[in-house]
Amino acid sequence: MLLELDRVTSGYGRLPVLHEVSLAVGAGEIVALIGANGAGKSTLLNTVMAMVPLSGGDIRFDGASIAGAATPAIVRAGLAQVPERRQLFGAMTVEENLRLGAYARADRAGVVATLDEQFRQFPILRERRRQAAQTLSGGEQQMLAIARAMMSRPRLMLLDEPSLGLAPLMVTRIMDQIVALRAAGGTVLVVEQNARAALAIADRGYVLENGRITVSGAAAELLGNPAVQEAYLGGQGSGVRAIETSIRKKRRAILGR
Amino acid sequence: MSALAAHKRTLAFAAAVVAIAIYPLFYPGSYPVGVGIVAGAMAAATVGFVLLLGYAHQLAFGQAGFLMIGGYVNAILCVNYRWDPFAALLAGVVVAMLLALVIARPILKLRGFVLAIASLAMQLIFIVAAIEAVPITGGALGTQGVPKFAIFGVSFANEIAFYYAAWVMAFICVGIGLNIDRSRIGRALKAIAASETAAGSVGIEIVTYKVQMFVISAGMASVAGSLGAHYLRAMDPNVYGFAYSLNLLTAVIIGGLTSVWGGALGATAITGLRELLRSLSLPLWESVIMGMLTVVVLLAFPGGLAGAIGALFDRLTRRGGAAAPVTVEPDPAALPPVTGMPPPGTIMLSVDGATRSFGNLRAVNHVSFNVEAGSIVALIGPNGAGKTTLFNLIGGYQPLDAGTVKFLGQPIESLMPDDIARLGIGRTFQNLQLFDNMTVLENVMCGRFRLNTCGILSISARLPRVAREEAATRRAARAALDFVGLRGAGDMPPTALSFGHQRLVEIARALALEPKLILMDEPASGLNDTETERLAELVLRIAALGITVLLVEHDMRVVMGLADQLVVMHHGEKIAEGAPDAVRQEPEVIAAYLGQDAVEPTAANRSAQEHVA
Repeated sequence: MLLELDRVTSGYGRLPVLHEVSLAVGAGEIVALIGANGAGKSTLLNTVMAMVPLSGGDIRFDGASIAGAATPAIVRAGLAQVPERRQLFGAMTVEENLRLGAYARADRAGVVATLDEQFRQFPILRERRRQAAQTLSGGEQQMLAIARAMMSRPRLMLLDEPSLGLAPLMVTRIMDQIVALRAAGGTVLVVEQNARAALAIADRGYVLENGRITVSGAAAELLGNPAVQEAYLGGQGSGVRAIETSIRKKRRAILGR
Repeated sequence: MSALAAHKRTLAFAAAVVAIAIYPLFYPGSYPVGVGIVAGAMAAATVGFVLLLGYAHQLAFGQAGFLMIGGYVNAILCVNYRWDPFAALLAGVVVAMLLALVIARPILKLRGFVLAIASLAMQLIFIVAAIEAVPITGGALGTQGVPKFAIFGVSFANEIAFYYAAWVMAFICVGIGLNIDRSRIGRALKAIAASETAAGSVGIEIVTYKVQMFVISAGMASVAGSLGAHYLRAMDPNVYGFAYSLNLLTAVIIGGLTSVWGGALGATAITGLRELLRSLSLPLWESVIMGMLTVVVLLAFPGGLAGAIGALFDRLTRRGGAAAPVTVEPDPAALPPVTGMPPPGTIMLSVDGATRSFGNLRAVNHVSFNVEAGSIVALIGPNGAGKTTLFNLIGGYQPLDAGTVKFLGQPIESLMPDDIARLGIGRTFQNLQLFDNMTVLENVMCGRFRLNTCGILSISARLPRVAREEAATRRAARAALDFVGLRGAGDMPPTALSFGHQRLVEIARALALEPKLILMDEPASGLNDTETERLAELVLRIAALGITVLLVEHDMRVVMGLADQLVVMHHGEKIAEGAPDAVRQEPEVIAAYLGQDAVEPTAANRSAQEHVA
C-alpha cells in the first residue's frame, strides 16, 4: 500500500474530529472518501499533510511512518494536496501559481518540463498563463489547483472537494481529469461530498460519518448501498444512527410531540 | 478557597497603602520624595491606560497627549487666572474628558496598529498646537510660574504633603479601576478583548465601552498631567512627548496589562529603577540596562509584575488538590419557563427574500422562511449551501443585499448583533467563542448584560445597587449553569473544561440573556455520541421552557430527531422545507446531498454553467 492510515485520531485544538480512522490507498488506485459535511474528510487530508496534528495512531507512506514529519518533508516525500476551495494565490498569474507548486524542487530543467506537461494536460491554462488566478472561472481555478499540485510531481495526490461550487458539466470535466491523472501513472485519494460523482470514477470508497469509517468497499458496490444515503440524510437504523430514534423518544417525552 | 485568598484584593490594597505611606519615613529628602511624586502621578495615568489597553485591547498609545492637556489647562488657569490648583485640576479632567469624547468615536473605529499610529498622530497634533498657540500656552518656552499644589486654599507646599496628595489621587484612580474591573463593564471589556463576535452576541455595546474607557483614561491621564505641572512648577511641550507615552507603555507592560494594579506597580518600578541607575552615574548605560531589564521581566513574567505577585500569592494560599471533575446532571427545573411568550403558531422570525452576494457568488439567493413560536427549526444543506451566511445575516453579523428579517414583526435586518441580542435573541457559535480571559461563571454572567442597568458612574462609585445587581446576576448565571449541567464549574477557566462542556458554557451564556429565540450554529459538531445525545436532550429542555430554537446542524441524527421543521438550502437557494421525514424523501434533497446526476440542473447551476462557458 502506498498510503496507510492506522487508527488515526486527530482534531483542531479543543475539537476532536477523527476517531481511530484506518484507511489505505494502493499505488495506481483512485480511492474516494465520501461523507456529509462535518464528517471529518478535510481533517483527514490535513492530518496526512501534518497541517492538523496527529493525536493518535500512525500514518505510513510507502511503508515508512510520516507521523511527526513536517509538511514540507511530506511534500518532498511525494504527497501533494489540492486544498478545499483551491487556495490559489489569487493576485499571482497562472504561471506563477504553477511555479510555486514546484517550490520544493531543485531541478530547474525538470520544472520547465513539468510545466509544459501541465499546459498540455490543461490547454486552457496555457492560454491564461499571464492572467491573475482570481480572474479564472471556478472550473479553471480547480484545474489550476490540480496542475499546481502536479508541479511537485507527487506520487500521491490528495484532492479535497474538487467538485465544490462547480456546475455539473464542470464536475464531469474535473472527474475526467482525475481519471487522466491515474492513466498517467498517478495515485489519487479524493475527498468528496458529491458521492455519486466520486464513486463513478473511483476503484474503492470509504464512507466517513462523524469522524469514523462506517462503510467501505468497491466503488460500484457503494453506489448502490442504501447505507451510503443514510450516512448523508440519516435514517432510523441501528449502530451510530440509533441516536436519531433515541432523540425522537426523548422529544415525545419532553415536548409531547 | 482559604480565608486569606478570599481577601486577596483587600490585602493587596492594604499592602500598597502601607508601602506608599512609609516610604517618606525612610527617604525624607526632597529629591527622593520628588521621585515618589513623579511615580504617583504616573501611577494615576496608568490605571485608565490598563483598562483601555490591557482589558479592552485598544492600542491607543498617545495617552501622554492627555497628560499634556491636563497640565496645560491647570497651568494656564493657575498662572493666568489665579485659580485654586485643585479646582484647576478638576477643570483639566473635564476638558480632557470632553476632548476625548469628541475624538473617541472616530479614532476607535480604527483597529490594531492603525489605531496606534492614529493615537500618536493625535498626540503630535496636541504638541504642535501647544507650541504654536503662543499667546495661550507660551509656545515652546511653556507656561512658567505654576504655583505649588493646594486644595481650596490649603497649601501643599511641603513636598511630603504633596507626595501624599498625589498618591491619594493615584489610589482614587486605582479604586475606580478596581470597581470597574469587578463590574459588568470590566467583564464587557474583557469580552471585547477575547471575542468581539461573542461580545456582540450577548448585547454588549462594543463601541460604547471602548469610548467610555478612552474618556476615563483621558481623565486619569489629565490628573497625572496636573500633578506634574505643580511638581515642575511649569508646563512646556517637551514634558509629555512621545518619550513619556513610551514610558507609560513600558510601565503597564512591565507591571502587568491584565491587572488594574499592574500599571501602578510598573510606574513605581520603572521610576524607581531609573533613579537607581541614575545614582550609579553611568549615563551611557542607563537606557541599555533599562531596556534589558524590561526584556528580562517580560520573558520571566508574561503577566508582568502584578501577574507574578498574584501567582505567588495563589501558590502560597492554595489548599487541597485540583477541583473535582464536573459530572453533575442537568437540572431542568433550574430555569423558569419563559414568560410573556407569544402563543404557539405566532411567527417568531420571518425571513423574506434574504439575499447576499460575495463578488460573483450569490451565497444566499432570495431565501424566505418562517419560524413559529415554540418550534425547533433546523437549517440544513451541503457544504457551501449558504447556511452559515444566512445565519450571520439573521444575527446581524453581515448586511443583507436585499430582503427583510423580522423578529416578532419588527424589522431587524439593519440592526447590529448587540441590538439583536438586546431584543432577546441568544446565539451560540460553531467554533466556540468563549471568553477565555474570564471564569466560566463570568462568561455566563456576560450573558445577563442586556438585563443589567448599572452604568459607568454608579459602577465607578460602587453604589449599593451595583452590588445588589451583581448578586442577582451571579444567581441567575449559576441557575443557567445548573440547567445545562455544569454546577461546580463556575470558578474554572473555560479552557480547563472538555470541548463538550465548553459548548454547554456557551449555551448557558445564551440562556442567561433570557432569550425568546436562540440561534445555535452546529451545536453537535465535535461532540462524541454520548455528548451528542445529551446535547439533543438539552435542546429539547430549552424548547420546553418555551424558547424557540433555530439551528444549523450537519449531524442528521440530531436534525432528524429534534426538528419540527427543516429548511434545506443548496447553492444559496431554499430547495425544500417541511417535516424531517417528508424532506428526506424529496429527490431534490437527496440529489443535493449525494450529487447531481439524477436531477435537472437548478436555476443556480444553469447560470454557473453559463459563467464557465
